Amino acid sequence: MPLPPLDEAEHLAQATHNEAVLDAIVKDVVPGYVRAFDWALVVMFYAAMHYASACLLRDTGECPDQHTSHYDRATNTRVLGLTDCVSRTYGPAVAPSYNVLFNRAWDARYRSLYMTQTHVPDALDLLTEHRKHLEIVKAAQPAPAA
Amino acid sequence: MNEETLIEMCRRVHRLPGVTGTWLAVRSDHEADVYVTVLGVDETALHDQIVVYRAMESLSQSARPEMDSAQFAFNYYVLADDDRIGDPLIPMGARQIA
Repeated sequence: MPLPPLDEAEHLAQATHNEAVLDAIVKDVVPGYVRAFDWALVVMFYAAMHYASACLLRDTGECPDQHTSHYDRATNTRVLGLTDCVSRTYGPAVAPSYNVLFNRAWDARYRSLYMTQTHVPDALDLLTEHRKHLEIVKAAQPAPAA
Repeated sequence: MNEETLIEMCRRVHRLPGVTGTWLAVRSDHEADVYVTVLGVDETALHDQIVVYRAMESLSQSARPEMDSAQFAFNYYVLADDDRIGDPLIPMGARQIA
């Protein structure tokens, strides 16, 4: 039986949890060396993904369960993926950092041999930027009616 | 969805620094993917990739009304092109545009 989709609060909790795991990984250093730098990159993306998912639920009420868009032949409709929804809802301020983190995580999982810990600070900056931009979007929303 | 729109998108992004190739994979009348390869894996490459993402976001935003009216599903991917890591994973059947 498929699990029920996460709600906004659960996505935020998962993002926060992932960031706590990230902190633990990044702190596991042999002076200047992040031991599991590749997995740090993976965790970073999943923190970014859950932040984006929470914000999409808050702002649009919808959050796709797949990364990419596809055409559903059974219903003759297009089904938007998460990456596309992030781009459509938050635009060029958020989409590039989200996409680079997606890419870095994919590379870390499947082609990590070329990656080094030097990729970690850049990706951390992108995660911070991603979070900051989503907060800016959040700040721009009207306050909910009492 | 006019395929020429996607080809033009590929041509434009190919002019950006670091871009080594663009490919178009038309999966059906309703779906297509674009693949962009960017040279290297270092900090310069990361900067170049971000520039490519920004350009692709801008170009796909312009094409969105056309895509939406045709219920067209579009994805794009920016891949590292570097001899040390093997060939970028571009699917069979994708057509090199530039």
